[in-house]
Amino acid sequence: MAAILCAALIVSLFEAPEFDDDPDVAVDQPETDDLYEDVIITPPGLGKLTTSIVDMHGQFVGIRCSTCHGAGDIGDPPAQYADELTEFHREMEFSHGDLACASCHATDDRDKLTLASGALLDYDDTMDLCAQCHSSEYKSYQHGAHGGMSGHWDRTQGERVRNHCVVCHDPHEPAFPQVTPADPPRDRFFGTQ
Amino acid sequence: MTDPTDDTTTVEANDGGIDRRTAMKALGATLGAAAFARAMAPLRSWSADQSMDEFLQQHYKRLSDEDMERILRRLEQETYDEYGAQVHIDDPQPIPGVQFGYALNLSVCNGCRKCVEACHIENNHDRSTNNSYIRVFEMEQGSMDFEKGTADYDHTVPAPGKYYMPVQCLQCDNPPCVDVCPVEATWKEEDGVVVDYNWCIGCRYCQAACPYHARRFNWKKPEIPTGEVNPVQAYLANRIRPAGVVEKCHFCLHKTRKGGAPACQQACPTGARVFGNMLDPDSDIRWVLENKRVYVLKEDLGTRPRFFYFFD
Repeated sequence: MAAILCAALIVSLFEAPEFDDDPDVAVDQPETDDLYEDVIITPPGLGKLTTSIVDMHGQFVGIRCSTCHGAGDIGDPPAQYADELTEFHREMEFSHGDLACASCHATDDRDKLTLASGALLDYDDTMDLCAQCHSSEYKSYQHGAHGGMSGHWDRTQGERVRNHCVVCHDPHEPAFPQVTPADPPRDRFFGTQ
Repeated sequence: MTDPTDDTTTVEANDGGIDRRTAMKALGATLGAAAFARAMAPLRSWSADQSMDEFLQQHYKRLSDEDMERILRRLEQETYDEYGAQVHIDDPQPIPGVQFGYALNLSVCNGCRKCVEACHIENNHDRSTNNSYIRVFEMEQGSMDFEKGTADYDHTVPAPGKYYMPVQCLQCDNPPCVDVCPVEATWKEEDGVVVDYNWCIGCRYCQAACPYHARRFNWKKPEIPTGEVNPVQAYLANRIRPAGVVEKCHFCLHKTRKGGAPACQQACPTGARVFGNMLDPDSDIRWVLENKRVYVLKEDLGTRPRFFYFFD
């Protein structure tokens, strides 16, 4: 009898303790369908050249590339590189590695872009083009670690608003420009004066 | 010792009318009364700058829902009376299962101070001091010590050879500021460190204890033009603070406890800031913590910050 009691006691000592699920810590994982979609801010006028003409809404009128580069180019063949430009597009700054115009712009269909594979791409899908070379940035972007965010961190309550690459980076001159900072707080901490 | 039979001595003492003992008693009573009156002086100015309701207000954690409701409406009325602004103050609670984390990419921060400016506007800071919960330090490349940084740089950014480190409250899990508060006016909630501005006595111990210089003191009543008061306010967050109390970044809990992004993150033009729920394995912040080499400021102090820095 004593042996049975002892055995029961030993078993009870080694019995796995029961953990109550703390309701405060439990994370309800919402179904993917319940989440708000990301909203990506796409800059207006992608694939158009901005002119100095102003429309009735006060916006500068953009013209499609094919307006000039239509069925065949008129006159001289178009420049291969930015430094060969003699007349048009000279108002733009070009500083993006050693890229040729045709590295991104399709020569067959002037209203499209081209991937390295030769496949044509709509201007709205520019991010796929950028991602060919800037894959680490694109990977960070896909996980919210590049490109910034506004709106909601909690996608069960509202959408996350993201930037398109071209919102921040000019594709022809993608480096972030120097800016004048906002005023610092006047609390005299850590000042140089 | 006086001989009780010596009549002359007794007569002399009674003749003076006031003996030394009585004089000392009177003096003591007068001084005591004066000190008491001085000590009670604040009571005389109750009606001037503090309502009876505010004077008798309990500690935040002991307030019933009805108490809080009454206090919030009173604060709204006071804001209207003093600033002419119609505001809504509420008291959002931590979301169960949510632990906020913040990460900042020092490789892309360009020191533009847009976050500083956004904080200033969002949190109803004093206009005359341009106060903000964020300081951006201009640092020598290769240096890691923000104590040697410059917070009041005034030139176009980024400058050559420099990088920029914004510092705000890191919402430590082991907060020294909370340990030193003598009245428990500041404490750690599930998702961050908060301050009850109505309970703070302004001793500034917490300001001295914070190794990140994250706390600010209201030397005077904030000046904010009526039209610029942010009307979306919360009790432990961005409601207009009285003079003489300490304040600090609260991760914009008036927005983030409702699922929104903090103002500094919304304002960042470089996308350096990542915010989210560290308990959600699919969140942005978790991806950063798992895939970037993050570090915290002054890790050796054991404060365990919730705010991480990383380089790409």
